Amino acid sequence: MFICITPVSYSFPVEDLTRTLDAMSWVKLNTFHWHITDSQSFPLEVFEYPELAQNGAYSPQEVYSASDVQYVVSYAAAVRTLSILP
Amino acid sequence: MANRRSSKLLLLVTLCISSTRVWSLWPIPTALQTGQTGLTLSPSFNFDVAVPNPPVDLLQAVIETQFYLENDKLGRLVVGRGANDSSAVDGAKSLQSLKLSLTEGAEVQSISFESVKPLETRSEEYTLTIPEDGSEATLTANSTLGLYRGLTTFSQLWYYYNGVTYTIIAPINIVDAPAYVSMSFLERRSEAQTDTQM
Repeated sequence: MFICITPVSYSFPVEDLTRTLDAMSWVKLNTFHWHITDSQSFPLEVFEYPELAQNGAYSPQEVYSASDVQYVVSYAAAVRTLSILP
Repeated sequence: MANRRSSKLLLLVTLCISSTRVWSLWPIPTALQTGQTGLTLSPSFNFDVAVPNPPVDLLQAVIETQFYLENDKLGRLVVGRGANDSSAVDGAKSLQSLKLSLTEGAEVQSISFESVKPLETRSEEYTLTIPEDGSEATLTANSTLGLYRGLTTFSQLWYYYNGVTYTIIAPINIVDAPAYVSMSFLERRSEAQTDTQM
C-alpha cells in the first residue's frame, strides 16, 4: 500500500513529509512514492549537477538537499516502517 | 409473544453487529474476534519484549506505543464520550502487560531492515491476543515489522474517559496480514502531462 506525493508543482517542507509518514504508519501503508522531480520543478539537489536545482526549484529555499533525502528515507524505514520509491 | 420474540431477535442481531465492529481500526484486521467485557489498561502497564537482542528501533517503537497509550486520550465518539461505559469499566480487570515475541526460528532483524525488503518478501502479519481476565496479552509475528504492525493495532484499541484507559470489547483476538501487497493513493496537482518518474 503506498502513497505518492508530488511536490513538483508545489513544495513540501521536510516536516510535512515526516508528518505524512507518521499518518501512513497509523493505517499500515507500506510504501511512500516520492515523485520528487518533473518538468514543472526540480527541487532535488544533485551533487554532480547543482544547476538542476539552482534553476529548477521554485526558490533556493525550496529544495531537498542530499541530507534531507537521507533523513526522510531513514525516518521512513526506521521510525515508520515504510520504504521509499523515488 | 411475537413482539417479545422479535425484540429478542433484534437484541441478538444488535449484539452480533456491535460485537464485531471495532471502528477505531483501519484497515480492518483480516480476522478479528471481540467480546463484550470491559478491560482497563493498568497505570503500571508495561511491554515485555521477549525478543533476544531486540533491535534499537523495535525498542523505540515500544516506547512510542507507550507514549500513544498514555497521551492519545481518545474519547469514544458517543454521547457522553464514554460516560455510559462506566458500568462495563467499573470492576473490570486490568491488563498489566503485553508480551512481544517472534515465532520459533524467526530471524531477529531491525524494523528498518525488514521494512525495505522487496514487497513480496516483507512479513507484516501478526497475531494479537488480549484476554478479558487481565492476564498477559500476547503479540507474535514472523518479523519485527509484524510486531510493529501489531503494536500499531494495539495502540488503537483503547478509549479514555475520566482518567481510565479502557476497552469494552475484551477478549480480543486478532490475526492480521496485509490484504494487498500494494495499494496506491496518488496525490497530484495541476499536471496534465505524462508522468516522468525518476
